[in-house]
Amino acid sequence: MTIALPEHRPLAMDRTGKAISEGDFFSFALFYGKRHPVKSGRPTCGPNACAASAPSPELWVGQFGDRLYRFALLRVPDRSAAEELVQETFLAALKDRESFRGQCEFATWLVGILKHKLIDHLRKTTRQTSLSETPDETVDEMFNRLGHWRNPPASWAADPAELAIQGEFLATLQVCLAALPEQQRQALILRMIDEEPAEQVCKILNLTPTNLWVRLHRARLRLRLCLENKWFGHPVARPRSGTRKGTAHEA
Amino acid sequence: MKLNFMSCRRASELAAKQCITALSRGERIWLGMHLLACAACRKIGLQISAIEQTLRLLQEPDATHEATGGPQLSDESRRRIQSVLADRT
Ligand SMILES: [Zn+2]
Repeated sequence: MTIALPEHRPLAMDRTGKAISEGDFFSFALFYGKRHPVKSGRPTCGPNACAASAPSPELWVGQFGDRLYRFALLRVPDRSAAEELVQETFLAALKDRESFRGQCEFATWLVGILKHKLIDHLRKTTRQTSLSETPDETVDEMFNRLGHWRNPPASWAADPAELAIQGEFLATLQVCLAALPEQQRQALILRMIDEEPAEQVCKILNLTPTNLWVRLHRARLRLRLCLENKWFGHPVARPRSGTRKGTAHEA
Repeated sequence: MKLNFMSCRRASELAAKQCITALSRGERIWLGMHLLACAACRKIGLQISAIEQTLRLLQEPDATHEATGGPQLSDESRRRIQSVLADRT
């Protein structure tokens, strides 16, 4: 998978790469946080992919084991549960081997099986406690009693999308993800990484749309704060100090 | 409702709500007005958008593992899975 990032980034971009000017507040308001329907760079099983045959099963663990394991571990940050899911995936693949007809890469096919296993796992392990969410003190403390930010946001030295090229930033991002409370993390991953439609996420996690956005709200703010503390607040980690026009130096 | 109008908390909630369900016209206008007036929320909004763009790169963890030296199956579980598979082949 290639990571294509434009060389020159304006203040912000929407998902089609169109620049958002800071002056255009209303489109900015719509942009802020908005997610369009799923359109991802994820490989799909389509008729155009060239046919391939499945490698022989004794090669599976060596070739695909780690890849599946990482995929699982990001979503279920418990080593033994993730290993268990990888094993179940391979067993299901073995049983169902005949149905692989080379419409997509074998690895993609395996990931597809793992996704189903993960969703089953989430359904089994998620119990909805109550209709109203319990308070999240970490998030409450970010605001004063008037609802203003208690601490104004720090200026970040670089654009995270640019930083993504650096593995260290992605590693920090994963640490911050793993530090989220379980329920918030699941909601954020399904909606923002896997880009599942909101209704689907509600179904998988057995939530109302309100529960879901409350969790997402908390998860985003916690994640932002964690990155601000662990990465952007850390002067050594800043890869560049240049002030480019349009980076987050305003205000 | 002057105080409420300046609530950054509400602004951040509406921004998250927007990822899940369409905002009402009133909510959209409220959020637009707040962002017009509030530099902190504009800044945080941009930061969160940038984080979320980066998050999508985690969709396929293989894209990142070379750089991060990502986690690997333990030798023990590797052997166990191998042998379970061998038993059923
Ligand atoms: Zn504000």
